[in-house]
Amino acid sequence: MDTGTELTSCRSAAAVNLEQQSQPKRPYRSIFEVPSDFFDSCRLLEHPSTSSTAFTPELATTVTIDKESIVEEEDSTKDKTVSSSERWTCNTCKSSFESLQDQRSHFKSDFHRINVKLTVAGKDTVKEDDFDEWTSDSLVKDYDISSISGSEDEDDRESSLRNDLNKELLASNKRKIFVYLANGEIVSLWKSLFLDDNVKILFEHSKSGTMLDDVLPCVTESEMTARLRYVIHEPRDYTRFRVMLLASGGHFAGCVFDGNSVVAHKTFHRYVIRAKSGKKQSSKDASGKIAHSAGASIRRHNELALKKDIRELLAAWKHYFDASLCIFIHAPSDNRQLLFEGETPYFSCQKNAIRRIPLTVRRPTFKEARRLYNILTQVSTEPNEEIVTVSKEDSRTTHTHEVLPGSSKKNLVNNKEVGEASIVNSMEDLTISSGKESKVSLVSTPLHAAAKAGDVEKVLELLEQGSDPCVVDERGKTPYMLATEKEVRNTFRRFMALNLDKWDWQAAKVPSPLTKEMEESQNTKQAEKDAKRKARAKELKKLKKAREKKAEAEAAQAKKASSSQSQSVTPQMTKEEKLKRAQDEEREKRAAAAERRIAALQSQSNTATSSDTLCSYCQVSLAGKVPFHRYNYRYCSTSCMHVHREMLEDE
Amino acid sequence: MTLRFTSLVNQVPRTRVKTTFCASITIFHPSACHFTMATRLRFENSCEIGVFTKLTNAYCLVANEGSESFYSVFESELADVIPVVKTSIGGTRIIGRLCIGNKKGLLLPHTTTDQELQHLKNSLPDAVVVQRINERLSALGNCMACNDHVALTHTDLDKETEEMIADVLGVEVFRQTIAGNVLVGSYCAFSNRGGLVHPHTSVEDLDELSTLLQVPLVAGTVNRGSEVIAGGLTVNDWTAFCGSDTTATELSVIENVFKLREAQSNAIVDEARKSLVATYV
Repeated sequence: MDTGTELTSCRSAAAVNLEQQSQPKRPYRSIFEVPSDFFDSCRLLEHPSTSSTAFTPELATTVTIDKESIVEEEDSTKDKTVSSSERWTCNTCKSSFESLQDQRSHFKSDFHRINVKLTVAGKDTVKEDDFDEWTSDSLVKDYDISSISGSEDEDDRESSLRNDLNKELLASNKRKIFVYLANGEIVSLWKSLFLDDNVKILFEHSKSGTMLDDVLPCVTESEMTARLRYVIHEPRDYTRFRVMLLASGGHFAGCVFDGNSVVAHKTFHRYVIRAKSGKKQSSKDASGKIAHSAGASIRRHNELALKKDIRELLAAWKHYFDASLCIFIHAPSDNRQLLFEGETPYFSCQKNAIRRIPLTVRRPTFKEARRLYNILTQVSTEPNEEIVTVSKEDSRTTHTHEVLPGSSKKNLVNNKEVGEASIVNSMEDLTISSGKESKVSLVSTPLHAAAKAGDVEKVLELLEQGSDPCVVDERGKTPYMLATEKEVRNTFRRFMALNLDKWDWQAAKVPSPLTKEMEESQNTKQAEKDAKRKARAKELKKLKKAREKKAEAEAAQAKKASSSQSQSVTPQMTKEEKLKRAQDEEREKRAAAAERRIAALQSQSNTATSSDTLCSYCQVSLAGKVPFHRYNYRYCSTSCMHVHREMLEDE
Repeated sequence: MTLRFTSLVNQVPRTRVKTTFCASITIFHPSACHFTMATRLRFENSCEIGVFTKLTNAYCLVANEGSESFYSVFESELADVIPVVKTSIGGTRIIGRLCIGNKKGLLLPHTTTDQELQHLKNSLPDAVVVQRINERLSALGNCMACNDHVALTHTDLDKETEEMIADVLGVEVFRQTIAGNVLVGSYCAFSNRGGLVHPHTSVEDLDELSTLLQVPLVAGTVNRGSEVIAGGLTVNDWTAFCGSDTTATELSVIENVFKLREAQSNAIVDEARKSLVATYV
């Protein structure tokens, strides 16, 4: 089955099954939509079941497969009828649609946008299912999908996504509760929907440990399950509201929900944030520099006005607050003073159930409030869980878990030897009772995680503990395929060399074993190569040095030669050149001399015409001679000049 | 020299040749409508006339400080139907690449000055909403392409901008690429009747786009092989202007796909006129 048909099948399945709520096939639904017996005989889990199934590498349950195949059959018939009429497609997302409406709405969706961006960046597109996962789990905090600013950079989205995946999962796990349902599914819910922020769930097995600190309020598991059941049995008669108040950056959104429906909502926006510099005017003022610009006063006024607006609204909504079960608040830093005065809120809240929103909150809008509420109230099926065919007898596990059949415990103990110790510990409380064989869907194991993270020691440890390297994850990749670093791959290969027949290494996609000898020979080869390279580098360096020396010597010689004008001494190649240069200089000098002479001649001829060309003493013609001057007189020689001077002095 | 061009000359018995003041040889079509189908011209030695003009069904913007002859081509072609407005945007003449609009509205980038905005508001018909938007990608003309019903946009445009486009221009907005290019506004040009896209667009993409936009599309070039379609071509429902390098073949493709030949018939011209809500109210 290629991806295209897969997607269409999902889509048309949704279209066909109108009563999706009751369909266990649909992955996410609101807690207010679930059937009233949803939480009957359910059990709380302390940890999500990820990686719990690493130890039974079988394929998915027969039950789900059956369902899927039925759905597929339906779709394939539908597809045929559709394709006969006209084709509405999206080549980027490799999907096709039933109508122009569908196609157009797809082209407007974030899913399509992400795929287009990925394609342009030359990356693989994501499937719709994966995309849902992203957005619903808010795993991609920095990959703000439908934020107002859609033009964020997304260069290392994928790498960061990969790196943060585990961290984020862990973080969100703490804020979620996991419930093991009677039908074998594991679902997760946001804790803040039921409990205050500081309330802990007390699990049976850890009771002894946590008893010590009775500072924090706790609820026991049974209380928790009771609450769960209470929520879905709540009457929808406008007596049990949930209110969401979002305030940040001059935006405010308030929304009152009754179950899934919106009873009242109101949004405000005032211009309070200083353009370009960010920050509110009041916080700028608080820093000491008080601006007197027009903009500043507008912002100050707007801050007050916003505060007033919000307070009026909160007062007007008093009856909603009185009837509300809990109030979700997002008002970071000094936005808090819009809703609270000190610790006391401006709204009346009798049950005092003010809860933070454990999600990334974007700009407060009505849409955003609804989005957050939908996520908070959603019951999400955990994708990695162990789906077990639970027989009726076994599923009689009530919300306390004393009645776990011993057989499954034994089963677990067997697994324990195989799995990583810590993980097995966490598994203890999600033991799934199944007398029969438990079959597993494709999951990622700790080994996958370790290989992906490039943790060599962990990989080795897991392999030595007996983790199966042949297990494929949801994307059909073995741990070896996920390893990005060479050292990790080498670890696999080394382990393969040591335990050739322990696993089906071909299935694990490990290409070849890496023995000690091979490594040594490789090392020596590498060393040789290095040595060679070094030697070559050295040689090159030497050569270079020699050349430089030569050049220097030549330069020095050339200098000498030019200064002493000796052409004969300059050796070899530059000899001719120097000779030539010297000759040139000579020629120039001669030319200059000749010029001077000519000039002198000219000047003489000039003076001759003015009858001043005779020696002032001996009256000899000065033609052809450089005369000696004294005052206005000209002489043919110095002796003439001396004699003449004496004569003049005597006079 | 600009050349008004028609290939229907042979089929029409009465033709006359007339020289205009801007030293261009004009072969006028003698039918009741005086629209030529596609006009070839250049802007100060540049064939990228789509850069310097923005043509819609309700108005035409022309870069100011250009030569009078360039302006007069648009004037004589459009002046009695839609306003031809000389303007700059953000002090530049590349107005066709900076703004986006259709008969319902005009979106201007944040670089537009208040004076320019006021000038445009004053010059355009009242039915046209002129709006300046705060979008990081300020070359709106490069980032989106639209007709009166649908728009293709750059994938990185803000959500707010997208909503603004939908509101002001009254269009459905789709984020898409054209032949792998995110600058959809540069690589395609389409009216309500047809469209021309980047020559490397695959047949599947072409089909997909034309079903999406509900207009027939053809992959082609302008300006003797230029793939920057919107740079060399500016088009509305009944007329087109393209760079003077455009070959006869390209021109005939343009006339065919934009159905400019049909537009010659009176009925359709009347219909086109009806679409000009603004000017004939």
